Amino acid sequence: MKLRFAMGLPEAWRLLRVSLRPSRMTAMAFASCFICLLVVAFNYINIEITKEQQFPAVLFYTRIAKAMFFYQLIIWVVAIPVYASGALSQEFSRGTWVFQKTTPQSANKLLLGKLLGSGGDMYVASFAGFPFLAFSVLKCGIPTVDVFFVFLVFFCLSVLLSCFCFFLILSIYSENKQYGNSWVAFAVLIPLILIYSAIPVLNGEYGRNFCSIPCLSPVFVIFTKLYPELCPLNKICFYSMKFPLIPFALLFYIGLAFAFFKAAAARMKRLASETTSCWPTAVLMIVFNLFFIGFLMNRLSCDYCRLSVDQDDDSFAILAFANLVFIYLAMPQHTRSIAEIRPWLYKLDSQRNKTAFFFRDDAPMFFTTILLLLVFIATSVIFHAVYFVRFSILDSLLLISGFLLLALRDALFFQGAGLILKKSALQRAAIVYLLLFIAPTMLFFNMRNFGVGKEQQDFFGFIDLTPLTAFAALDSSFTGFPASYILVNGLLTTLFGIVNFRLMSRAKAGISGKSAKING
Amino acid sequence: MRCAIKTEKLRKEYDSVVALKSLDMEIPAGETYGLIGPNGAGKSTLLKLLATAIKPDFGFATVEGANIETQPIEARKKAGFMPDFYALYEQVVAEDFLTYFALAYGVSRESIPGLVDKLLADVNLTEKRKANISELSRGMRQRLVFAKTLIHDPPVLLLDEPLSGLDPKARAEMIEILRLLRKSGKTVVISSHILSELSALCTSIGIIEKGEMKITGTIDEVRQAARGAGKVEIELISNAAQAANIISGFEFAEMRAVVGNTIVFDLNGDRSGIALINEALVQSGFRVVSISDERLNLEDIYFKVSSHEVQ
Repeated sequence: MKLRFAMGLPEAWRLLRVSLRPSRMTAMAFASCFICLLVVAFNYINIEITKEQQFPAVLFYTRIAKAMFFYQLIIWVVAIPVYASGALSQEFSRGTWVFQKTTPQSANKLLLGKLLGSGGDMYVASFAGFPFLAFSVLKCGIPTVDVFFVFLVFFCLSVLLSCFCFFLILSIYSENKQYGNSWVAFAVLIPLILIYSAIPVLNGEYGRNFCSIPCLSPVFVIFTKLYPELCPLNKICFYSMKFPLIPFALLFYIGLAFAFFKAAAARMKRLASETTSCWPTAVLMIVFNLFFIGFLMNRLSCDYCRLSVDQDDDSFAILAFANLVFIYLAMPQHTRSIAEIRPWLYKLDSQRNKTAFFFRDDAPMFFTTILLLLVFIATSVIFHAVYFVRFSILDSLLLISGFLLLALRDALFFQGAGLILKKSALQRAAIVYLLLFIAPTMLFFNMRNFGVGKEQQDFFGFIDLTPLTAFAALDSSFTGFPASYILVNGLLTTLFGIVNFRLMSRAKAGISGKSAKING
Repeated sequence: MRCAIKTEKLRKEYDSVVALKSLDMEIPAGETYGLIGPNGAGKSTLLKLLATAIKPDFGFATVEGANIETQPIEARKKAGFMPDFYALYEQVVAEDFLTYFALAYGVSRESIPGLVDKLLADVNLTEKRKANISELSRGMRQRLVFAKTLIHDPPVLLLDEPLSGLDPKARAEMIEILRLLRKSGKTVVISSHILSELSALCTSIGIIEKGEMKITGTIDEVRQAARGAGKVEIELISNAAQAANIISGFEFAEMRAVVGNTIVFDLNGDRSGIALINEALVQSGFRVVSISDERLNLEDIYFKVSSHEVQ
């Protein structure tokens, strides 16, 4: 196959030329059909009927349709992102990246090529399995338009997860070690999908009370669209407004995918030694951050959903924890490593006498985002004052500032670890972080008592320093952050900031000496 | 003379290791430049910087006028880079490998098939055009990557150890191709340890050590600088002692000894001094049998200049 249509994206052309060889396509199509036949046979055998009963065709085809949807779900939501991230990480692990980065291909084109071209095998598998799905869907009467929407969701989600993996791989890539392991991305990705898919199910009513990311999990979306009798939630609550679930989910997936794609492309440009214009990406990242933090704070406007504000529900703690994973994955990417700072310091030294910034310009911009977030908070606070009975304006402000303080503190902690340890800083910082924060939390964690309500004072200590404490405000027994909490974490943040400033000043002093020599 | 490559105060560090200190270098267009130095001297780092595979910490460099930091895309279009260590896409067939890079470098689609055929023929891989890269030998891979380096017809070639891993026949073929490229006016920068072959290829060289350029220039300039006061021996039919007096009269000649009919002296400056001395001796009626001077080859120069200390 010449694949002329793909020649505009050379990377996609190369990948498809390998995966769409006739022998390989035949093998993949055969394997896919075989799996589908096994599913059909398994369902046929497991239908229990007596001799007098008529064969329950609708039940049979409904089961087949469900199984086929999940088969397609696995192909699109798991296998294709796995192939896409494998295509990227192998460039680093095999050592072919040096060829890629010395070609004049743009980072956007290169990533888009990998995104669209790497799943050639899986496209064949999906296509081969489609007749089974189509036949069963027709037989059990599911509208074609719903099937189309579900596939659209699969596709968009596949793009989102692939872009997320790209971003993670490029974030952990080390130039000196030529390391960019896709398995790290999957180690993060797969549990996240499972958590988000499980949360609504665990809640017993397919998450009708959830209005944040979990209700956009692929499983939830499929059930909402295909089996509305099981999962009647068609609207989602966002910034106190109701939106139809499927268009919102699609918008959410594509919006996030675009943000991750642009962030990954900016990283790739940096890796390819290209000077990036940071502002377009930075502006996009600010919007992305606002959108994302809006989700995390969505509890604030929950009274529009069915949940009673006074409902004492541990599920919010689970939701908060799941969202926390996301923000803490993104957070270390805000900071700069010493290797990145070095060229900047050299240039700075020859230009003006200031110290380096702590934060990167190709990742979500932390300080700028915080500033814009304050505008959002102000708006939210008005909503609170109008609609919320339990949270005072002060409580709301304390809640958000406490949360941001923690995120800032831990971003600085990661950067400090990077500046001190230099080699494999992120991994070591992650271990230290695990020992310092997560382990004590796990030891003392009690779902009912992890909050900082006055009656839970006994649980203060290490837990007080963990990010989970910020979410204690979501507990119904919350009565406001103690001043000591803000004070202790404020002091810690300041301490980390001072340490990092000193470390950077020291690095700059060393470089000034060398720079004087070079210029001299 | 137009500069194809220019660097100024170029510096690169890896963690605590300084790979390039403050490199100033100019390579005129059309030169075949040999980059010589021990392992860890900074040769590969310099080539990677010029190919925009890595970013400098300080200083700047241009490739055919394109700044590697501010115009990396332009610089990539003007340079073909062949790294020393690399891996290839094992499942891709040889002709697809070249087609992919032709597309990536923006070569027009119509001309790609013809170009791929020509390059495969040039590197003697026509028979292997449909073979997976995993089936190619080390030498074949090396030639394929070399063909890839030429795919966009760049004016500058940056070749890091291009002759390593090749058998003698393939090496001779590669040298022949490089000679043809030199004739076509391309600027070629070659890093290699095989000095005898570099001397046959290069018009100028640079010896790099501990991230610093020790010496650079045309081979004759470098040879001269490395040699310093070179030993010259002149054999006469007779009257060597009288002839030695004439030679002593030249400022650039420093007498060492007269052994029989042979005069041994040190020559400071370039080799034109030998011609002047020969002319003076002949005009004075001395009959010269032979003249021999100490002519350093590239290895001699390298061993003289390099202290072989690896950082």
